[in-house]
Amino acid sequence: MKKTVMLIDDEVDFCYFLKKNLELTGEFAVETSNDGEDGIRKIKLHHPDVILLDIMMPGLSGPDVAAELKNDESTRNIPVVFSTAIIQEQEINQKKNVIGGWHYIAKPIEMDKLLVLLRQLTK
Amino acid sequence: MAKERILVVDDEKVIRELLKKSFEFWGYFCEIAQDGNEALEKTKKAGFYNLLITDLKMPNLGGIEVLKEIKRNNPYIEVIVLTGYPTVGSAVEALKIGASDYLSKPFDLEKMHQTVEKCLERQKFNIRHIELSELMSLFEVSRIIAATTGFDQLLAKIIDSALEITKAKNGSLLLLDESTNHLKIKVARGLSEEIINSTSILVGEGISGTVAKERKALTGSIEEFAKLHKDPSQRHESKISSEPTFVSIPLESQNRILGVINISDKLSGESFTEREQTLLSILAGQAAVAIENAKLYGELHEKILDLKETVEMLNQAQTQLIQSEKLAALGRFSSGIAHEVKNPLAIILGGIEFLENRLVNVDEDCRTALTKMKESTLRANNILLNLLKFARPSELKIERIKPEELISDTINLFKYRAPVRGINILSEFTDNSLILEVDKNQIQQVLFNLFSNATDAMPGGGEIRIRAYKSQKPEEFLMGTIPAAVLEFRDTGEGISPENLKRLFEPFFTTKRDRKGTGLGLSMSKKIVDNHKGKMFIESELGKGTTIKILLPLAQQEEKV
Repeated sequence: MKKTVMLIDDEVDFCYFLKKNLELTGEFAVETSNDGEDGIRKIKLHHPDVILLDIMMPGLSGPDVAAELKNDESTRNIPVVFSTAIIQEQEINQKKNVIGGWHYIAKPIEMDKLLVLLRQLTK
Repeated sequence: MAKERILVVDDEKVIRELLKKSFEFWGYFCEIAQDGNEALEKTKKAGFYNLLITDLKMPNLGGIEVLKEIKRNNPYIEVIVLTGYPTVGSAVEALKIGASDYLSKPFDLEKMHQTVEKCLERQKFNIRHIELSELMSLFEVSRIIAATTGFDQLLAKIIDSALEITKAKNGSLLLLDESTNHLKIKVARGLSEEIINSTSILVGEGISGTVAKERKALTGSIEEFAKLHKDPSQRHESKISSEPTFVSIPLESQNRILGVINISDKLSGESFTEREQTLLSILAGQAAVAIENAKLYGELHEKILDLKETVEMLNQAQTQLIQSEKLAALGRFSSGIAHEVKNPLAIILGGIEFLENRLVNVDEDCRTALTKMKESTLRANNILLNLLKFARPSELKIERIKPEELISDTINLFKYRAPVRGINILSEFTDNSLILEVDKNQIQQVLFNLFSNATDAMPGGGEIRIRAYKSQKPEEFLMGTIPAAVLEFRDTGEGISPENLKRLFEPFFTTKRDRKGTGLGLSMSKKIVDNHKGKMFIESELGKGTTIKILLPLAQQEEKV
């Protein structure tokens, strides 16, 4: 059974290749959205197994989206992986506790690392 | 005006008494001697004579010898030679050694009077001429003194000039130390080093002390002064002898006593004349002004040096400010740009990974191309990561660690690469008690940078020596006094030129643009060390190698395990 990944990122081409790469593994089905509001709508529609959420987006930012999901009983327990172009992995590890147990991965994303994380979260 | 003094030497009593009476009648002061020896005796006792009238042929000491002897001590004396048996030879000889005129016996008294007057007139003219040239030399000396600014040179010039003017052998210049009220010899001629160094005279004591206290010149003979000095009632006499063998003169400027000049022992063995004492006072006046000026000049010079130092410090501060301003701007710039650049990088990387997965059966060339693209993308990303470290320095995770432990990881990493490049790595950790308090990861990053730079600097192989020790030299202490752990990193590479050395910690400064250098390694290392409140400095010599010292904080003593 394929796991569903919800990918929210304003970079259209980033979504395009990430979707392709994840689907190539045969393990994941990927839904994409290019802004926060649309992303929330699609999450409520598709109930993905895991969400990959960009932090810096126009309109609703990644944390805004995450807060919205926390408020909703149906989406509260879906694991979220923040992706960011700014924070380095080393720092992410240091700040894990501060940002409340969510997961982070730095752009550019290396597939090997992402896959390890996604497999673990969708087990 | 004082009477002119005439000495008559003749073995014929009638003649010398006639002359004495005549001269006294004409208004001169006259003394007589019956032979050469008595004449010399008289000149020694009475000092100066304006005119000597001497017979040429006398028993014991002849006129020519007398003339010679007297002229030696008193070059200005006029001489008239008398003789009853004139020969051309003796007359010529007398004139040669300085006789002014020549009269043969028996002489006409009127003619004698005329000759004497002529001689004395000439002497007056000569003396005026001599005075003028003395003044000229004084003027010259003043000019030289005024132009001398080096303090020690000035003092030497003053004492030498004083000796020159007075034609004396020995002299010393003492300056007053106002804090102790003692006079110390600053420069001397004819005194032993020991005396110069050991002499310290309280104002009011001894010759110099009395002169400094009374601010009046003192002349006399030293023996006499010593005698008088025991009797305080006579101490204020400024003149203690009619035949002074020393002159001691105060150096005064603007009513302040600066010191004393002492002069003694004329080269000729005579005593000092009033005239010489006057000249010396004039010189002392000039000298005091010059000394005061030189002191002021010295103070000014020191102020200028201070000022220069301040300017230098300001310049350094400014350079540092520019540097940190640069870093700050770089930080703002890089966090802005990182987002913009990283997204395209993420897309490129995604694309490459997509192709890698899709093109399973492509040939080796295509696969190599993809691998190279991927590597380059990750390298570009790494550069951005380094930039971001400037933007937001990560917090230090301080732990206690031995330098050996800290360094060994980095050494191990390089040990595999080093032998291939012909590089020998030596480490020396002798002080087992050294424990650092640092962020291990960050300091290892610094060490990694240093190893990379060192290996790059030794393309033909060489040696890297690492030592860790506690601060020894003054510059190895933090904030000047706090002992630190010194990590010394020495390579035998190509070295760094002085121009490059100055720019070493500047972000983006690299000499390895062609070898993928980013110019961030050292500036970042410096920043990490700075964040640890440590210090980092580099010495290098082209062709010899580079030594880098990193000063890092030591663990507190009481926490030592």
